[in-house]
Amino acid sequence: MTEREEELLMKHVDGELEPSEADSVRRLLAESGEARALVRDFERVGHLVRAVADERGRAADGIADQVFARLPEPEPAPRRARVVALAPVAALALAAAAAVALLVRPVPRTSVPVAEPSAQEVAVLPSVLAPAPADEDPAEGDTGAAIESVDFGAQNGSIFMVASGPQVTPVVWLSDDDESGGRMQPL
Amino acid sequence: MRSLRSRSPGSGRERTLLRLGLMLAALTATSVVFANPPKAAPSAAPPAAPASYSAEVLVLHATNGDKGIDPRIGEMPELKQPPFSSYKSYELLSKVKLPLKKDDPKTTELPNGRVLQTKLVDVLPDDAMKISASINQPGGKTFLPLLEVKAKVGQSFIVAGQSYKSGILVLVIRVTR
Repeated sequence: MTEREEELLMKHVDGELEPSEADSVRRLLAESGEARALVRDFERVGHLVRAVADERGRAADGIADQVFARLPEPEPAPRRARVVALAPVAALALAAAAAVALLVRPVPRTSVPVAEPSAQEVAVLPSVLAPAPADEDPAEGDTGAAIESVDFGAQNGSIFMVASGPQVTPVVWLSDDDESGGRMQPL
Repeated sequence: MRSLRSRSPGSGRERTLLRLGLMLAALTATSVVFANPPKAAPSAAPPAAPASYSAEVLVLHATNGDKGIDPRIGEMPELKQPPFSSYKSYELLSKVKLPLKKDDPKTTELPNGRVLQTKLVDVLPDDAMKISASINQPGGKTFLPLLEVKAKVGQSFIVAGQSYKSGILVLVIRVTR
């Protein structure tokens, strides 16, 4: 089966055949068992994609409500008297911080030569402080990548999430409609 | 007067403490500034090189053949869930790494002749970044004009559905360092 024939079958499933193409698709379906099987596959996958997208969409709609329902009531603003009472403490803390900064300031390079850390030492420090490299183990608590925006152009498309272990993977599913030439899409 | 003061011992002491603290802070800050005059960046310590990231693109061919999931694909739980599970066979057609650099889009040709382009849009805190992807048909119209995704290193997203040889193409795009 040629790519053109596959594409016609896909358009047939999507209900986007031009009148001039309908005859050839009817003929193809009548003569080719492979074409009929492919149409069944397209229909099955199409139903599945729509079902998954609908289900994920409904689940996503409920998330915001659940989050807002669990938010605690906002606390009343602290009274001014408490702020005033804490002001001396804050000032002392600021002074202490400045004093610490003075004590631990780097020694000027011009006065005392200090050996620079080697490149290896420099490289080790971030890896100790930073979370484990996400190459192998994405940070715990992340929900996975997120789609910020998408332009489907003239295609029909769906967005949904698929679980991938503790995270989810966003999926953009586009129906192939190569020769549509920018036809209007159904609302 | 003395009796009035003794009724509110905290207010006078707090004011004194506040004044002392502020004076000390100002004095110390001045010392810090003068002790560490602004100077040019030391030439011996090179600036940290910006982290380099890549988009690893796995091009999979999903069909209803009987080959199962290509072991070269590795562990990918997504393929065992709907709608991906409706295909019985996944073959790895290609695996490429496209460097992600700002204002420097990279492309790779897909088996169906279209071209996938990826680009780093912005680097975000916590090893995250915003990247864009698009799929174009050379000499034809754009298949996927624009997709912008926020992802951390190790996370992936999937673009699927392009018809190809009695099946579809599944592009798995993963951010790597």
